[in-house]
Amino acid sequence: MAREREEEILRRVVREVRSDAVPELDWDEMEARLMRRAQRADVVRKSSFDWRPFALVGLAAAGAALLVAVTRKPAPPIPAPAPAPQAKKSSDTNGDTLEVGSSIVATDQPVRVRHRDRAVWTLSPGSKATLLQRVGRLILRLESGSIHSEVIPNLGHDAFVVEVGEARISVQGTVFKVELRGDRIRVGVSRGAVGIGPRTAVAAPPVFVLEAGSQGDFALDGRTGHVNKAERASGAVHAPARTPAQAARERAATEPAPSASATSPEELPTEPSIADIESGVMDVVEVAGSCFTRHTAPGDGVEVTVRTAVTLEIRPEGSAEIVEFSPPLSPAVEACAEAGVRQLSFARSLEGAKVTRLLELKR
Amino acid sequence: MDNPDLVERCRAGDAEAFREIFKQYRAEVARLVHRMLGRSPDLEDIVQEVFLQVHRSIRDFQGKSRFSTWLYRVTVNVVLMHRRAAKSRPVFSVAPDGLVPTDNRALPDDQVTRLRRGRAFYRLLDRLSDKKRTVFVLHELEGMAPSEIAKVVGAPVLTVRTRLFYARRELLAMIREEPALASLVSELSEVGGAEANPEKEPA
Repeated sequence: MAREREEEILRRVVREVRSDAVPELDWDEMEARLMRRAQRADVVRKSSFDWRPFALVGLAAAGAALLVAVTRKPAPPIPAPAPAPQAKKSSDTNGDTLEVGSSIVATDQPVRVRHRDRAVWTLSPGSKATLLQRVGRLILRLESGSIHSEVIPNLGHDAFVVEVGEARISVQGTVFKVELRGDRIRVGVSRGAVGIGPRTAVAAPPVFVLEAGSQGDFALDGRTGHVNKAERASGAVHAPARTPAQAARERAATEPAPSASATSPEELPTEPSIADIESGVMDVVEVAGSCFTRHTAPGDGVEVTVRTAVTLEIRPEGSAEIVEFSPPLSPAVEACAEAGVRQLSFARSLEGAKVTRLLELKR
Repeated sequence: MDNPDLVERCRAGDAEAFREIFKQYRAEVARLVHRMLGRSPDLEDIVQEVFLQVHRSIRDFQGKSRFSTWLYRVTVNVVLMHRRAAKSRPVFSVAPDGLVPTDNRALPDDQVTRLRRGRAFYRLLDRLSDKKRTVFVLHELEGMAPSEIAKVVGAPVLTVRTRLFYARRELLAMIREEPALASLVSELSEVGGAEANPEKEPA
């Protein structure tokens, strides 16, 4: 009997709740705000790098290697080369959709190719490169001209390797340029450290190590050459090979100004380099994490995890601000994070950038 | 009523089509959010968030289900995300109904009582798991069939029926613990005819 009564109560309450009218909302105001936010989201989507989901915890996960093989001789067999796309103007190409064997030719404008979460490389006008391998290691062959690469730091691994002709250049997440000039290879490093040695000696330490600010001129076999040490670089010539972690620590001490370029230091990049952005993103993560911890009430032995996508606008002059957290965090956390981010500075660039990253905050 | 052309235009990035979708479905979305959460000061924000989510994800809508079903799914997910996020935020504690200094002069007594019963009902719903709560709301408050709910929540119909069964069972077990609903128990005891004729409202 009691059960029937409870069922009747439930039926009645459900009936009452169903008949409860939805509160009046200001639809016009909501529509206006919604359209503004949608428009902003469109702008972010169009201008941000296309590597959205970037879990913090897995930041150090990128396990790629970049191999740039430079040779003047006919290239070794390349699997089914695809027709070379002719670049009419400077533009970003999604490297992750390029077929292995594709050749990229930059005619009168540079061509930028982006491999999500791994590297961005730019072919100078008049240059040609072929993609030899995309999965696992990223291998490019520079057929002519020069290539400027920005590789995402990947601590904990022997992250990147550059092969130049018969030479091998091991690259720690870095910014560098390789240029084929006659029968010589010129390598300039503006950030990080690069090792150069014979291409066949994969497991051996490199013969040369170039550090940030150094330039080198090498024979195609990678066995001979000379290095112009940078004012700030030390032991750049014939330095013993070091671990990536060591190189990374040293890089932190020897890193030049962010706008420094191996070839044209006076020119600002279109947008901050990947390394700059990722370094800044780590700062944002730290700030947001700290704010979240500070402004979230501790639970009784309960871990609170919040996932949100943060969109960050980096202005050309290097300042940054948070555009939005989606879904939003509590006002206190957002205000705290925004204040923290305003203290950060990025490298100057022509256009700045907008990036969106997935954050996972724990308390 | 679904409008495939409108959806297709929206998928192609047509802002006006998105605006039209908002106008066409906003009342439905608001109603569902309201049913899922009860009276909430966040209603407006959540409705807006639902449509922003639609704007972000509409390219993922393959047209395999009806647009309205997909929209319901998005709405349910946004509400659940909101609930989870709200749990990790500091909240102002809500005083028991009897202690709320509300100005009830404008409302007749029975309406006040109804409001309290409604709040009590959502307190009970809050104690259900998200999955059970969702199917209960969709079925009992929105009047959706289990087969339709199955498409929204992405679970087999049998699972939906099971969740519904346990949701009802748990709610029935909790009813007596709610003072605002307990009064109904005694009310119904006094009005013996209520059991025989559920549609008849007690005086």
